[in-house]
Amino acid sequence: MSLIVLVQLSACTEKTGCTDPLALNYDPDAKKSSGDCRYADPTPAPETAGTLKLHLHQHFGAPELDTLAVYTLPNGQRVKLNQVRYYLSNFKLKNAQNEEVSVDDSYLLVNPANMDYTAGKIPAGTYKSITFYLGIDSATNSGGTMPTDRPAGHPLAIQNPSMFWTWASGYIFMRLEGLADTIGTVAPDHALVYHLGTNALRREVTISFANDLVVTAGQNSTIHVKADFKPLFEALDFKTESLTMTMGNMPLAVKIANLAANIFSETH
Amino acid sequence: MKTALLFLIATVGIISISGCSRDQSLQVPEMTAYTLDIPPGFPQPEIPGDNQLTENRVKLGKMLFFDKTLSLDSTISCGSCHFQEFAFADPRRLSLGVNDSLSIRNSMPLFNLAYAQSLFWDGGVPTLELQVLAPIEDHREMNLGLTEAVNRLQANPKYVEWFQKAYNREPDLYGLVRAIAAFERTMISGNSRYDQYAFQGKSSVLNDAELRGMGIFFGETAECFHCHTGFNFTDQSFQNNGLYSEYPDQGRARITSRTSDIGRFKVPSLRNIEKTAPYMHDGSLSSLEAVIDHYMSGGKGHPNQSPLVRPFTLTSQEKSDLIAFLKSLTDESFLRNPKFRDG
Repeated sequence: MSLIVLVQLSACTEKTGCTDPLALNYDPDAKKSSGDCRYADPTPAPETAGTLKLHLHQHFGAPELDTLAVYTLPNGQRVKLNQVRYYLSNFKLKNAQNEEVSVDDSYLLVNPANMDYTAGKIPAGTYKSITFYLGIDSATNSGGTMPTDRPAGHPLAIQNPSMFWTWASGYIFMRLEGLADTIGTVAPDHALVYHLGTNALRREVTISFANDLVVTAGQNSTIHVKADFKPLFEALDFKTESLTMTMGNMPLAVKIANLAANIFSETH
Repeated sequence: MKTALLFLIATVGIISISGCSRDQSLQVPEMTAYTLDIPPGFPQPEIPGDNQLTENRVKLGKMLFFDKTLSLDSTISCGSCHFQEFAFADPRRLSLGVNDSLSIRNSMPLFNLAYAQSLFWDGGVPTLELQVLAPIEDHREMNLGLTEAVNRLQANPKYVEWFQKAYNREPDLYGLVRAIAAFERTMISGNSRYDQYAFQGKSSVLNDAELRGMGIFFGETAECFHCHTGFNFTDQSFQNNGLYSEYPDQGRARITSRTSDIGRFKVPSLRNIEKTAPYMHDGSLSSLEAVIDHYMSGGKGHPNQSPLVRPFTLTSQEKSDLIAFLKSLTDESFLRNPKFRDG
C-alpha cells in the first residue's frame, strides 16, 4: 500500500529550486523552495545618477495653449485646437566635452493637461544641450512589442484618443485636431485633422541650454521646455491644408513635421 | 509504532496525491493543445511562440469573433461581414458597419490565414494579432474604442472566466487579439475537389471541362498561375491588375506612400473563389465571367500595371472551362464545418 503511494508521489514530484522572484537564482519553474536563494549585496551601490525631468509648456504665441480658445491668424483664418498629443523619446544629453549620455527606453506621451514628465535616469554631470525625437524610433514603431502587450498606462499602450494606426500598424507621432474658420467671420466648423507618423516623419530636436544643466546624484533635474504651436498653424492655409493622415497626404504631413520640429525652445 | 509510521506515510502520501491531482485538474484543460488538421499538399504553418494554439484559446476566439458587443451599438460582430457560406467573405460590394456606414473595400474572405504574410488588401498590417484591432476601431466598421472594448469584456463574467482559461489573465487587448487570431488560424480550407484530385489521389474527381480549364489556368495564354500560385493560389504579392487608369483608392501606396505602389492590391487566394463574389478590392466585378473579361481586355493601362496583364483571347468554350476549374477550388466541407459556425 505504502509502496504504491510512493511511486505515485514520485510521478508528480514538484521541481525544487529558489522560489523567491527577488533572488538572483530565482527559478520560475520551481514549485518547492530549495532554501538556497542567493541575494544581491544588501548594501546598495552609491547613487551616481540623477533623474531628468521635463516641464513642458504648450503655447499658442505668448499665452499658454487653451483648447477652448479661438485664435486668429495673420491671414484672417481662425483656429481652435481640440486635441494635441505627441510623443517625445530617445533623450540624449551632451556635456562640455561633447560626450553624449542617453536615457534608454523612455517614451513620453505629451498631453497639454500634464506639464511634468519624467524622462529617466542620467549620470550626474553638467550638460549643455538635449536632443530628442519628436516621434518614436523605427525599431519600436515598426515592430517589437505590440501596443496590445504594453501594460495599461504605458505611453506605448493603446491610448484613448488613439495614438496607433490599427490599419497600418504604426504609431501616430503627433496628433493635432481642431476646427477652423477659413473666412474669418463664422464659428470655426471646418475640421482640421493632422495625424503624423511613419519612420520617415520622425524628427530630431536639439535644445541648447542658456545655462548648463547640473545633474546631481539622487536629485531631480528639470528642463523647462516651451512648445509653441502658433508658428506651425500660421504656416498653414486651412482652405487647402486641413487633412492629413500622413500617407494620404504626404506633402502636407512632411510640411507639418518640419514645422513641428521647430516649435520647441527652452523657457523658464 | 511501526504501524503508526507507515500509516503516517500513507496519509501524507494520500494528501500529496490529492493535492497534485486537484492541481492538474485545474491546469490540464487550459493546456490542451489544439491540433491543426493540415491538408495534404499544405505546409505546416508557423504559429507564434506566444500564441500557441490551445482548445480554450480557439474557443475564446470563436466567442469573440461572433460577439456583437465588440461594436459600438452591439449590432455587429466580425461574423456580420464574414459569412461562412461565402468562405467568410461578404456578398455585398462593400460591408455595412454600425450606423449603416460603408466599409472602404470589399471584405476579404477568411481562410488559410495561418499562412498570411500580411493582412488587408493593402498589406498594412503584418500579423493576424494586430489585424484584429483595425475593424473593431474603424469608424466605418465596428467603431468601438479599444479601451472601451476591454471595459466591456472585463464586465462580462463569461470573458473573465474564459480569458483566464485561455491566457491566464483578465480580459485585455493582449488576450483579445491573440484569441481571435488563434481562432482564425484554425480556419484552414484545403479539401476542394481540386485538392482531392491533386493531393488525395482521386484522379477521377475532376471532369473533362475542369481538366481543360486547369490546363488554361496553368498555361501561358491566360498567365493566371504566375500570381495565383502555390498551394494557396497566391504569391501574396501586391499587383496592379489594370482595373482602372486612375485609382481613387491608392491601394498599397496608402501604406507605403510610394508612387510605384498606386493601384497595387494583395493578390487574393483563388480558393473558394466561386463563393466570394463580388470580386476585386472594391467589389466592382460581380461574376467570374466579368473577371476573365477584364483580364482578356488587357487592363486599362495604368503605369503600375503588371506586365503579365495583357490582352489575350479565349473561346467561349475555353472561358467556361476555366470557370469550371475555378469552381473546383470550392471546399464544401469548409463552408459547412461546424467548428467555424456561430454557437
